[in-house]
Amino acid sequence: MSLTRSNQQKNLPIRTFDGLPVGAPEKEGVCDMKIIEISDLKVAYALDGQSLTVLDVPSWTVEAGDEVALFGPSGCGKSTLLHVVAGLLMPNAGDIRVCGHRLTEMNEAERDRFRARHVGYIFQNFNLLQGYTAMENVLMGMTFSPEKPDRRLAVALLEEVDLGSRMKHYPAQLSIGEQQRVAIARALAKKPELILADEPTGSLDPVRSRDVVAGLLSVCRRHGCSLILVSHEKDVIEAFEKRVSFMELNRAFVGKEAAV
Amino acid sequence: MSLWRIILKSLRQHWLSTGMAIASIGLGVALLVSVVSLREQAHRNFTQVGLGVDAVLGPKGSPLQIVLNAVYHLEEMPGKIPWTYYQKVLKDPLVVEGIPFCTGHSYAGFRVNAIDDRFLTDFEYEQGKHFSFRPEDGGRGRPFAARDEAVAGWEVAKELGIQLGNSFNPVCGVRAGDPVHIHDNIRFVGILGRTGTPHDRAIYILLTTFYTLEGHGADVARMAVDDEHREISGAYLKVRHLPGGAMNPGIMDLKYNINQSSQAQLVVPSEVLPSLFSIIGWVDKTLLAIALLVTLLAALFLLVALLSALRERRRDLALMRSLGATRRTVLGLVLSESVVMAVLGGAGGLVLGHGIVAVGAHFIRVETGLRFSETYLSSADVLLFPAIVLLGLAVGTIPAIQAYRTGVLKNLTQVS
Repeated sequence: MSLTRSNQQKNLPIRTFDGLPVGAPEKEGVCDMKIIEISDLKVAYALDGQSLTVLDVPSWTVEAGDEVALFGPSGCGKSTLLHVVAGLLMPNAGDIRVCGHRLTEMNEAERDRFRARHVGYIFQNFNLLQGYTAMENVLMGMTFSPEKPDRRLAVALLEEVDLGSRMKHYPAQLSIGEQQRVAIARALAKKPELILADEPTGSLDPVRSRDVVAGLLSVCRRHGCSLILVSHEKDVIEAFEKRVSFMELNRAFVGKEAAV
Repeated sequence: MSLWRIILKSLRQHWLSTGMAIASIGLGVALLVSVVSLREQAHRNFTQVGLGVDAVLGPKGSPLQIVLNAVYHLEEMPGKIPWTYYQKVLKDPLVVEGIPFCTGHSYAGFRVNAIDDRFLTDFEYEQGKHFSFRPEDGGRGRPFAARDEAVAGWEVAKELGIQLGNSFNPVCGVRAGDPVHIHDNIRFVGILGRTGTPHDRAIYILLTTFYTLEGHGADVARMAVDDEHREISGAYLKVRHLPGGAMNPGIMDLKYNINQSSQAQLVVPSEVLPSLFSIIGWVDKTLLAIALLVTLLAALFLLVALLSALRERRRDLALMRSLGATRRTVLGLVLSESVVMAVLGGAGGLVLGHGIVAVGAHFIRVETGLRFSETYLSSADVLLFPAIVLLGLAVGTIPAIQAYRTGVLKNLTQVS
């Protein structure tokens, strides 16, 4: 499965929603070269009176347009890192800048607004609103962003992920793969600079996993979004052409970080 | 997608609990609206509407009983007063006019009152308003002029389907099974236009007719011609008013003097009726307490419905937070839901309450002649919506705070 199959089959030129050619940054100037800059980041929890470090990233940078796969075993802190990048979790120490915003200096409401504007998040279990149609789920992605919800954009996104005929269907009426594509369309709805995908293929078989990742990479390139995808499956990271970051337990990138 | 659409969507998603909460609030509000409206109207009727009577001259006995009988055509008069005493009272400079009457007869459940013919022409049932026989006022015919003639009140004519020329035999008494004056066929020559007062619910005959009804015996018949022997049930009195419209305070002296006598008493309805209202006040207080209790239960029901919906929606709210909704936004969503439910229930209750008032007012007016309005706006109507919004906000506070505290990561993610 490819998320862009329909356009490719019709030999249509692939363009972004603003009519920009593939690969051109959609929001030029909003995020400059470094989309994520992390230094001395630490996340720790108190457990039985002891401090348990779950994430320790001395330094990490993601450039605009990067496609990064975070690979590592379960419990190594991949999702925690995504939560920190999304502003859902505050680190105990260190500094993090995302899209030029220093998250450690923002309060929770500011981080919520930052997320509404800059970050699209795709969950492992998709987290679609069950009482809302595919179209409404995508519109929900725009509801809290500063821009007015755009129904035409939502239609275009759903058509782009081959769900043009399923817009009025509820999640329960969609297959797992279709639900995941709705989640991808929703993440793109706010026109974010950064897409964070947390184990987006966790519920899929290997073949479908590769399709979903390929589709995700494809739409992110078309929309000029940077992508950070968390996975513990080797099959998934094979689709990444640019960069894979390997994580080990409680520490980021201690082993190696390599361009593929 | 607007926040209002999210709110309506959420209400639709939990339609059963939403509907039940709205319905319960509606019932509570309807009960409140109807109880307050009927209570206020009753209070107004018993304390503010004088029905054209400044004072009633009546026999010794319960003042309340005298007012209920003379003004509302209920109860029975506790006795009689001598005509001569009435004439003596009329001579008091404070008394402007008196209209004597005899009660104690009935027909088809309605009182038949024998009354001075000036009642139909001079009596003001409301300031400046006289009885009318004009068709445009709902009346027909003319005032009675002969012994065998009667005039029906508007409600009596309507309920009994009385036409001019119909005749009836009055019952000597006001209870079922009392003897009927079978030899006295009295003909309706007039139907009064609607007044919206208890006077609509009585039949009127001449005083002379009362005394000369067959079966009353010679002793009563003698009253028709012998002033010294004559007795009446009572008399409506109109007394002098001060320039501002208030009753002349001299009425207190008149009342004292009359009440000192052994033959009669002077009853001022505006003094007696509030005491009636205070006697029956516990009924409306109980009803009001029940209505408040029902509304309180409805509020608890709303709270339970919101909490139950919130339990199912935690994941949805967490997801909205992950999409960029602030804590204040989700707090506002839940509070708004609560207010919307309360307002919908309040609006429904308002409509239902006024429906109850309309039906109740109609029946009360038909049964008692009290001036109840179907469209009366009570103080509850004015305060309802601010109170409902406050109720919605108050009830919504607990679930809204819980929504505010909803953690995104706790409700959404699986950490890897």
